[in-house]
Amino acid sequence: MLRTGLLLLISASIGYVASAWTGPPAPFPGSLMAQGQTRPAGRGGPGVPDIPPVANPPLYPDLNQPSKPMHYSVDLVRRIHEVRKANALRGNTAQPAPGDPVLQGQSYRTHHFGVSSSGYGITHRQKYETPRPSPVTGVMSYYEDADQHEGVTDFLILVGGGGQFVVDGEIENREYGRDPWTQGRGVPPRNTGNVRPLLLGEFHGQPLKGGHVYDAKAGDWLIVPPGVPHWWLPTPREGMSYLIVKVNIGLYPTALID
Amino acid sequence: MNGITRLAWAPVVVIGFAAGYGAGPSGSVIAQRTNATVPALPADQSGALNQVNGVHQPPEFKSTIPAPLLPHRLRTMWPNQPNESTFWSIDDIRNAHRLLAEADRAGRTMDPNTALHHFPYWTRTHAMFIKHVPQNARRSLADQHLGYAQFIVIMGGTGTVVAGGQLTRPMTLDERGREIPGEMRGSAITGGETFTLKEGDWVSIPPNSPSQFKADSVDGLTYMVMKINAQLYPWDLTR
Repeated sequence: MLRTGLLLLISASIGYVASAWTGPPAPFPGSLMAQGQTRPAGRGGPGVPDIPPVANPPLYPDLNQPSKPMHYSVDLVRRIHEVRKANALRGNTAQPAPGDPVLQGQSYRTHHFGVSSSGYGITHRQKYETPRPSPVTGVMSYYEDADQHEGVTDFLILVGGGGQFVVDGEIENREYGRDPWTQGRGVPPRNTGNVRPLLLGEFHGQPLKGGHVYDAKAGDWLIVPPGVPHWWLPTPREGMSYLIVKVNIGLYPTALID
Repeated sequence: MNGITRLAWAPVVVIGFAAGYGAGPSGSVIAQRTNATVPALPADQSGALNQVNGVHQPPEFKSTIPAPLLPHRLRTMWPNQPNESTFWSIDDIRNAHRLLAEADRAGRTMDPNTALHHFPYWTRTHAMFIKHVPQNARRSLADQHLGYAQFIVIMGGTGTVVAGGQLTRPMTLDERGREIPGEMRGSAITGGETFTLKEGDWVSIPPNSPSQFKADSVDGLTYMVMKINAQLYPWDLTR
């Protein structure tokens, strides 16, 4: 019995020495061990590949950005305002009919303009005849809800109609925005219920309290920095039409910009 | 009997060797033990939708979700951006053009950005400037900016812009012996498109697209240009 134990001990010692001699096994691809293996260190540190720099990299790196200069006549945008106003007074909020004037906007990685959900490229707002639930938050009001965007600057150019801009201050009854396109293009965006994902960083609500109020007419400009609430109070029946240039703050996914 | 006993030692030797090898650095037991330390996520943090403690929950069909108020200026998504809006009325915009036209006629030099409040307007992502092109501008070079896009609003006067195409005799801008990378100048543009401009018109010029503005009214041509940084480009190189 003693001999057996002694033999077992000696065999185990030889086995341990043999194990130390051969070293750790190669990791099996995809195994936890393989994932924990440290890759050779590049200049960026362990695990960061050492990619050589590109000579003279382009300053505008995205290949799918617009490359054609565009000109937009003030006459075109005034005609769009008149068409949209007439449509709104008839209760028509459909996409442009054949022959309607439309503005072909542009979308860059850094900014976009003229890509309003209406299809006309110009945003048009009207004051309701009687109070009704606002499109986003359902607050009973003559006006649509105010907006607040964490991720973009809005530069607005009023092209027709008028009313008031209310800016800065705080939005009461503020709620998160929701993705208007979850149900697909062509579906009315604001009334498809509650199954649309939240847009973190996009807020709506009303009224806007404690802000500055500006009387607005065609030709005026307004710039709204990121995170600043803004609200539109259009002139009854005349409405208010404007172009928005949205400039991304550079950290914000374009898909979240509403 | 003695031979049988010696034969029985063979499995003892094999078992001993295997146990020793397994306990050593090359052994798979230790290798697995040192790497099998990834903690399991709690059931409700595992990424599965509508799971609370591993139990499926029906979605909440709330019509509204109130958003909490966050302290202003404590958010970090927009560093280096203004905190308040700025409004420019069309009356002030037209007045800026009038002031610049009067200065032109009187032969006075006037910085266009002093003609309208809050100009120049700088942020980290974009900047806005006012430009004035006199009708009798002797030397109007064509510009090409590699580092930013431009959105332009005509504030007053009439004229033309040639945009797109190629610069004629292109050169890098040189300021007192310092070359400004990404700022190209040329005497004219070939192959571009010519647009007629008047108050209220807009022009969009992509990065790296040449443009050349000319005035054809006695009051010259005044415009506001919003320069939107391609975001790899240092602001101190923009011209």
